[in-house]
Amino acid sequence: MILDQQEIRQTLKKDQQKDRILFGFLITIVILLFLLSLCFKTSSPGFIPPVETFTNLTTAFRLFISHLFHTSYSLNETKIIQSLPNYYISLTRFYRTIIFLLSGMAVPLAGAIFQTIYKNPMASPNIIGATAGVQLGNVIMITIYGAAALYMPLTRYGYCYGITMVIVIGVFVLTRFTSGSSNRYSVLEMVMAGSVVSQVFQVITTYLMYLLEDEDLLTYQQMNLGTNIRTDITSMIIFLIAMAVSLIPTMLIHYRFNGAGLTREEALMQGIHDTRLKIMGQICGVIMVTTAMIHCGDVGMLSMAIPHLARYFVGADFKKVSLCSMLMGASLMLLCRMISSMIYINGSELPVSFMMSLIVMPIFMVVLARQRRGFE
Amino acid sequence: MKLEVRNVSCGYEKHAILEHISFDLGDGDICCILGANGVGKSTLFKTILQLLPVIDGQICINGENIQKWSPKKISKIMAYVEQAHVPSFPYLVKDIAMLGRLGQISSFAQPSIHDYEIVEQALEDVGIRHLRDKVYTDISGGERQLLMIARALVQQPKILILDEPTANLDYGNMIMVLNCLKQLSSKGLCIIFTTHNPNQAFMMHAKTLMLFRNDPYIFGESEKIITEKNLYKAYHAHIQIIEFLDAYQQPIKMCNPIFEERENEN
Repeated sequence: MILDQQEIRQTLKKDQQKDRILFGFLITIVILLFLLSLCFKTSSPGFIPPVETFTNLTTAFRLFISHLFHTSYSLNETKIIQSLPNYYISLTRFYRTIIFLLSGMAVPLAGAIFQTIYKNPMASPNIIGATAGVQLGNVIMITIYGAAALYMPLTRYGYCYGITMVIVIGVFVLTRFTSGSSNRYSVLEMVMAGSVVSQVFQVITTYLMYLLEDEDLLTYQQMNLGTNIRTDITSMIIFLIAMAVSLIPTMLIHYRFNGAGLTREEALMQGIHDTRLKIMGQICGVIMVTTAMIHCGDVGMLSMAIPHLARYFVGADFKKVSLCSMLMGASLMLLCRMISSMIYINGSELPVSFMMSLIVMPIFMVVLARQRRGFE
Repeated sequence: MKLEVRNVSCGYEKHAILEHISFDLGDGDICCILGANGVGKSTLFKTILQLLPVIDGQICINGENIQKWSPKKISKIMAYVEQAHVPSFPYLVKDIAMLGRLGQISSFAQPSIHDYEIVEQALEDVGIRHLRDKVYTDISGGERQLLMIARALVQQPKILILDEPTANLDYGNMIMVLNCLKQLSSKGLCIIFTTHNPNQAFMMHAKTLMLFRNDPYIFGESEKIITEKNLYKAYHAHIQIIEFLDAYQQPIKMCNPIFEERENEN
């Protein structure tokens, strides 16, 4: 029977309406949390009223534009800034909020990519050594510079990104070497190569940690958990570049990633070069997680739990899973950051990752218990 | 549309498993490939689909050798239906069917209204449109197989190649799938499938390609090809062919295995 086009369009509209309500709701929450976390934080001076925050940020924006086009507004820069007591605090909060927002989007997205590629709900970028690189980078920084490492963000980025890159290249080369010519980059080979390579790097990390003094160990923990991280404009720019490089290409072809979940034969028979897609997806995923880990600490929990939650609500279509997990991840991240910044223990904030585990775990358990799983 | 397999040898790593195979198929033809396990049915499929390189000979579509065709171009002519397997994630039926359009839309694009129309039509064609909002894992084995066929149909191919479409299906589901294939062939689709049940070749009034381990292959109408002697050669079992009239008074054939105890009695 040939179907009526009008009828198809109506069915389609109904489908889209359901999605629109869910995504609309999620977007509203993210925006709300974003605005809230610009104002809230317990560390002095605590709550800054929205109006003041808004004035501070618009001033910063006007100064920036003025510098860019050489207008007269920036001539009185010092005076303007002096008249706004919380100017720099608002600006820092803005940077931190943006960093947490984007990291909250990127980490679950990376998780969703890896889970689709490996056809395994437990997969995450850690498989090919995303976190091992950052940990080694941190420990090397502290071995060389001690506590001063906290104030040398640029050098730290160099080590962390560099070592992660070495690990990823190592994994790809080893996979290529072990899997022969017929079936390049097979899933199992990749997992094995990944675990071997990251084990090697973890051993080095553990050895270096063993050599650290007590105080340096504490600094290392702080660095890994993302407390005590300084954010200035340079690190912000580096963060934005890394996120753009990984997020934009992934989002451009996000529907295509459904093809990464097909078997090799299926993909080829549909005219898709799955190998290219898989390599690109994994590299982007590793960049996302590495960047997030460097700037916000270990938030790997999101990469596993959030795509699960998203699938529970919208099904497994990658397009919807990716959008939904990005929004959910962002809102959870902002929420956790806000709560953790309000809790002080021993004079320092609670690490975000700790709060995250506390909040995500119960939700995750409920979903796992209720979910109809296709894998067993 | 005409598929010609000319003197093809195929196998893995230059080691030929099947040699000098030739047959022609046109629009609306159904071809059933019979043979014992491991005789090379899947290898032949993969070679036709260009997933494995041809060792010798040519595979032509409308007279053109497809060896140099890109996967994308092949995907517009041929679609492959693997045995249904359970994916790791709770895909919805409509989402799985849409995956067949992946290769047809550009990398940066989202499925358009046109794509949705094709998907809905394909689901309707195989008769599972009422399941479109169900989760893949919640539907029956036969419905899953039909969904895999629908996913191949949204590629809008001229040739449909199925690897054991009725494996692991109960009798009712098997009939459902075969019926669907019959209807598709009446719409002009060329269908090639493998099976372990020679009865299906009779049921579908198909052409048959029989592969043997040591003897040369045979190809032709199933009524002529599937004989007791050939079945013995293929499966090393005594199989009797019974002829009778069906409910519509049409002559029909059926295979019946003869078990050894009975042989001894005779």
